[in-house]
Amino acid sequence: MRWGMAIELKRCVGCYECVLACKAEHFLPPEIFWNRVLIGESGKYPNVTKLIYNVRCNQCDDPACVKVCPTGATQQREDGIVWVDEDKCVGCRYCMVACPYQARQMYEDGNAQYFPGQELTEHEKIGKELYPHKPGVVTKCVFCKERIDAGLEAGLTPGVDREATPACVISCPTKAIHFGDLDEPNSDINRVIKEKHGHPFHPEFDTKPSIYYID
Amino acid sequence: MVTKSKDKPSNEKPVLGLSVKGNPEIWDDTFVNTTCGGCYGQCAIRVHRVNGVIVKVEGDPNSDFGPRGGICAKGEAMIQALYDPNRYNYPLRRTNPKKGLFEDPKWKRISWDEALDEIAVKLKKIRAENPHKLLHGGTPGPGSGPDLPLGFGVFGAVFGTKNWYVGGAGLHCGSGSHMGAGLYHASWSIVPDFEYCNYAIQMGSNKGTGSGHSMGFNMRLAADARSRGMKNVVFDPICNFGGGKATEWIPILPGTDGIVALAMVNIILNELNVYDEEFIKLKTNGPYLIGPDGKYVRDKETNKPLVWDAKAKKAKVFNDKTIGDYAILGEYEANGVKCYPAFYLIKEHVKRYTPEMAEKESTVPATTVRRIAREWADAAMIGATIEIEGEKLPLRPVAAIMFRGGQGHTNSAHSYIAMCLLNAIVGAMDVPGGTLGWPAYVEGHPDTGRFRMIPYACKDGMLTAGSFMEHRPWPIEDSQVPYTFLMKELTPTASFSPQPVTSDFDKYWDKLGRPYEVELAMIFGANMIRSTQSREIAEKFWEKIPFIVTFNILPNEFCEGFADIVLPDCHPLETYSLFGTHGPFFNHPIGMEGWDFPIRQPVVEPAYERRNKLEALWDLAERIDMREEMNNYYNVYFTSFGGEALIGGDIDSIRHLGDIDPKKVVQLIKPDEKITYGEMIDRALKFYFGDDHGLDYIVKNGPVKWPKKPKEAYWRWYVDVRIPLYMEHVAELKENVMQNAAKAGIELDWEQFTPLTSYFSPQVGKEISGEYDLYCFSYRDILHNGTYTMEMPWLDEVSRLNPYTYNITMNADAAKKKGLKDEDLICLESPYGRKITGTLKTMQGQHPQTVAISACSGAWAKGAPIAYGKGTNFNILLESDFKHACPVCWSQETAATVKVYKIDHRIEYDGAGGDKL
Repeated sequence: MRWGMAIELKRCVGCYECVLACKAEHFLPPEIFWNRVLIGESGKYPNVTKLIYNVRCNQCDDPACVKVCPTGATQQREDGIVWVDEDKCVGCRYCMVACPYQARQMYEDGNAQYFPGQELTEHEKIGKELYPHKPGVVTKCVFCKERIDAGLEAGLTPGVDREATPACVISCPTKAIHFGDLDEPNSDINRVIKEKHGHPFHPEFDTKPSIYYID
Repeated sequence: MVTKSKDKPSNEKPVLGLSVKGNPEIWDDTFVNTTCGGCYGQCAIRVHRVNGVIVKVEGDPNSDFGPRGGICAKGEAMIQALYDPNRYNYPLRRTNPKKGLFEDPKWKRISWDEALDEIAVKLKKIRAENPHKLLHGGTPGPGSGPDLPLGFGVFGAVFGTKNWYVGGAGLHCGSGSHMGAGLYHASWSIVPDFEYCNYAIQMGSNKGTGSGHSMGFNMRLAADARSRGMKNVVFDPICNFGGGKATEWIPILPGTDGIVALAMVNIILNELNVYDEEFIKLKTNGPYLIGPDGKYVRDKETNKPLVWDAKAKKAKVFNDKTIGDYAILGEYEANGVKCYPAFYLIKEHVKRYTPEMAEKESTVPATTVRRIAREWADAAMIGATIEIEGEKLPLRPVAAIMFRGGQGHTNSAHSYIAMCLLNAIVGAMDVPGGTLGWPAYVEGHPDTGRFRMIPYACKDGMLTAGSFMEHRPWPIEDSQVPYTFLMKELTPTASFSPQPVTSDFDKYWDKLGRPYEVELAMIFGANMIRSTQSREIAEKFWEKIPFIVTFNILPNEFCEGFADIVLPDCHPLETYSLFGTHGPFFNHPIGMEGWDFPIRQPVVEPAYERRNKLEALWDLAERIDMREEMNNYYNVYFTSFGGEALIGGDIDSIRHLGDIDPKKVVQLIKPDEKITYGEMIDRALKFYFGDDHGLDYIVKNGPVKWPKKPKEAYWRWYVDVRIPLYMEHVAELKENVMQNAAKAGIELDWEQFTPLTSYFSPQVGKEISGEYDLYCFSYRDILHNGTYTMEMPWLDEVSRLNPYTYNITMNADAAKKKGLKDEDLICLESPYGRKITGTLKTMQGQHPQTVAISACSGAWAKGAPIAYGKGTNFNILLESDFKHACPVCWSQETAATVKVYKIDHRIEYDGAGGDKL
């Protein structure tokens, strides 16, 4: 079992909901992003193409970050998900340097708040109970592993059942993100990747990403 | 190789559908179905509440009214507006008597009773003297959607004022498009039939890529269409949202879309000789005979328009059952005058619009205009049919649409109608694959037959909406000498009016002898300063109003600078609202997407002393002995959606209440009853959908739904109606409008009162001269709606990450020629001396003669600390007067002529009182 994503660029309109769904789901502190939308353009006027890419940790099958972690904080599960054990991370940032996709971020300021100088919102307060973040450690997308685990335990199928599927996937208004098991030959995600010629970004980095893009 | 761990983290106890770490105590884990208030798209959502706190917003996966499970960032970020520490929590009274753009209101907390008593005293006095002294309204802001007619609309109308000012609607909305969509589709707006369309043309529209119009389902359906391979040609000065997802982006100068559409119509009709003859003959006024005076030649007995029966070789009334064949070309004689079928006149008229002329005005190459016209005519597949659920229907898989950008100019009405002509000549209107109005035809709930609205033919056989709002698209009312502050009764083809917040209002009001003055303004959910035209013009108007009351959830420039009393409204996640929209013709899913009626309900109880504005209005009504009248009106209103349109559903209809047979009105609310908003919703739902489909049902099961029939989705050939391609009514209005205008000293561009759709240079283009060499325009950013989204920290974060949202953009080469580069602080100055500043970001995907600003940013309110100083408030540049408004539909000119230069600081913040920028 190896969880993966396929992102259909033609469908995506760059609304940033994937970014915000993740921020809400994980109560991410200000300026911390587990995924991003990169926007730019190619070509010369008037032959221009707008570029929109949703990027995040590629959950590489051969992740550079895990290899360099001196404390064993960054780990890879059997299902391919790469995650950081906050209790073991010492904030050395080797993983940030090692990740060729620059998908990791250091969470430094534990006191940062969304309305600086004012009171914490109810959402921020409950976030500290439901999904606390430890400052001074490196943080990144975990493919909503808690949703996947709870879903599987309840007999649900990630990528099919909403409760078992990552928040960014179910929240996308254009259904641009597919999720599923890359090891399952007949899965929807493998079909989409095959039929629509999905390809990872920068395969030359040789880390075997689990995220595919469809032009 | 890395070692893969077998173990899941040991300390995590799984919670279904929610990322949770550790083992927090969870005593409340609830999903609530409601509607989004992030914009007026009002998508169906399910909101996740944990331990009494809203943690996440998701789309309702089982509803067609939205992205079916998805949501956009504005919807998600609503949580932060709900919990914003800057929210208004109590009624407040201004203690600083001075009003102005940067004045601090020096609020003092008062009680609800104190506030309502004070307002009621003023209302009573005004109602006794002259109800028009109350000006009420707002902007179609976040969450206000259906409360607009049910709340303020009803209150003001029952009160008796006709001063209903939807400020900013001219800027963010579409006077031309609402006029045109009403006339041609009996609907508020139009959308391509994404399911079957193969070739869509968009002119100045972001539908499907950011527009608030049916935000959610448009995004979903447009993505499906792109994925399927629909060609999408986008005419737009910028390659960002609409243009950015186009299969072909065609840069164009602002305000010139009309001439490109007309040139294409010319090529299709006169060079390719392609048109849907059957549609022209049976569904338009194309065969109606036009006399030398430009008006219909009418039957002397019945006064009905005459057509020429080519078989019988004689003139007959248009709906004579014996007509063998409608003539649409040639010259005839009827009633003793030489006359021509309207279609023939249109066909001849458009010959003047050559692609070369279109290129000169718009910069779109003539070869491109020709090619797109050819592609369009081919893709239209005239004569093709399709079978849907056993019904054989015409298939016209081409759709042209336009919204604010294309028609927000002084040529608004003609530009929009020119675009509509593209659809009409190939019969691509409300048929599979073509341009669809938001649903105008609903046969009603299967159990009750209620919630029924069916378009029908009235005056001259023309399409008439079963229900509408704001103005009647058809039949056109008579012109009147202006007597409201809005003055739009002068030109009944207008949807909205920039008056009275203009620089020329006083001139006309003086000439009319100043019949009365507005003494009280009641404004809901709006920012009448930052989201409307030039803040200096707005300041001069609002500072003169003796007393202003506003309902709002968050501080903004209007509340702080001008309101005397602020009443704390509920956030959309704290309150009820009936349906996602006013009626199916507004925002409801198109094509074969199902009928779906989500309602809004509270996910959390309103905190502090926040109140639903409708219930507060009812309290006010009670204080001035008006509650009974409001109850009666609601009965008429709801009954009108019950199967017979007693009223148009529009605000104006209230004025004709006396004409309605009381026996036809179902009494849902007794005159003396004092019910809650929730109870009113429950009764309305049961009336529409049956006793078992009340509020309890929706709370438990989500929206009431039933399948749509092909006849409803694609109604055009099921209803015997025609549309006025030849705008005879505009010609007919002209004389009266001129006479009435003269009494107020109003001069409009009378040339535009022509029945033949034409091109008129937009005011913004006329002002290009010398150093003022750039067209400056604003456009919708998918992250924002109105001004309140700017105050949401999540949206602010991603806006800062976006290269364009907070910056002023220019074409890279054009900027370089002016010695400008990325990150320069620049000033844009209009020929009228209005100035704005911001940070430059250059891009390739922008017309070189333009400068662009996204969204409605540039806040300076003290109570909006997140938004303060971010981006640039484009609206400051706009003039507001009749010279800068379309004479036919009264759309404002929403682009400005500017020169650009570097500057050392943000001059529009001088005096704002916040941080120096």
